[in-house]
Amino acid sequence: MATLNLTSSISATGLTTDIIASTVLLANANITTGGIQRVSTTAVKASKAVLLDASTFPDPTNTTSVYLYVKNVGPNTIRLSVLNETGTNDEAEISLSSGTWMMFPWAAATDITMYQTAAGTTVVEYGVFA
Amino acid sequence: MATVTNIITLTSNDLTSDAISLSVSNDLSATKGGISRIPLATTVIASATVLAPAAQFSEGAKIWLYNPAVRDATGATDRIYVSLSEAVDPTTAAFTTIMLKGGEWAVIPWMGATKDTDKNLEAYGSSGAMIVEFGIFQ
Repeated sequence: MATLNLTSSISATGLTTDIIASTVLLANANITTGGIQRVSTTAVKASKAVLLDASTFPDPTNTTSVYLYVKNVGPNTIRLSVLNETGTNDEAEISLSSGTWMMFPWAAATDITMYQTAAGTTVVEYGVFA
Repeated sequence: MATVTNIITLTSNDLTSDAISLSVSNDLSATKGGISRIPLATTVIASATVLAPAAQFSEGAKIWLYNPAVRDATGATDRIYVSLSEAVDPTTAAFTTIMLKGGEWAVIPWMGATKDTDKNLEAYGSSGAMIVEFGIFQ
């Protein structure tokens, strides 16, 4: 087992009367697989690409979790279906503009698909830790 | 307009042959938002607590979610479920949510009214006494 440390820091000055400064550490010592990598894609909405095949990751348990990090390092906005949605039922899509990222515990129940909002080639950096 | 700086740091010294150390940052120009803790008085999506009304946010909004409960290693009493759009899985007919166990957090973008003005960001817990720490910025 390995330990994964995930720290989130949020700060803002001028948004509210008081400064916002929040830092939270999540340490999980039950990690056995994971790493960071980049892939390129030319996928558009009509031909979504599978970023992650859920069947290759274990389902979370009471003591384990699957953490997903995705960053859009390419020029085009990408949209990802991360909540078991397929086909045209895309209300819960997540949009990542160029340079933005996300991190959340993934249920690993169904595949994560992605596409660009404009034709071309973009690059996605991602990591899955389980 | 304020700048909201969001940083995640991901490290592991013993997962791979080489240590993993990643730090990424985003600056978001925001005119509204904040962080607060909100009680979740329900355990079902039908009466879930609205964290953010979709009509007030659009593509580009960023959400912070944190479950401050202690992790329950033997049961499922520590769970918070967050719905981005009250959407239903077309295969299982179940509502699709992000689940946060005790101590877990998430940072995700949210499309709000860009997807549907009637589909709010909502949450419920595994018991009627859960609390979620929630922030949204746009």
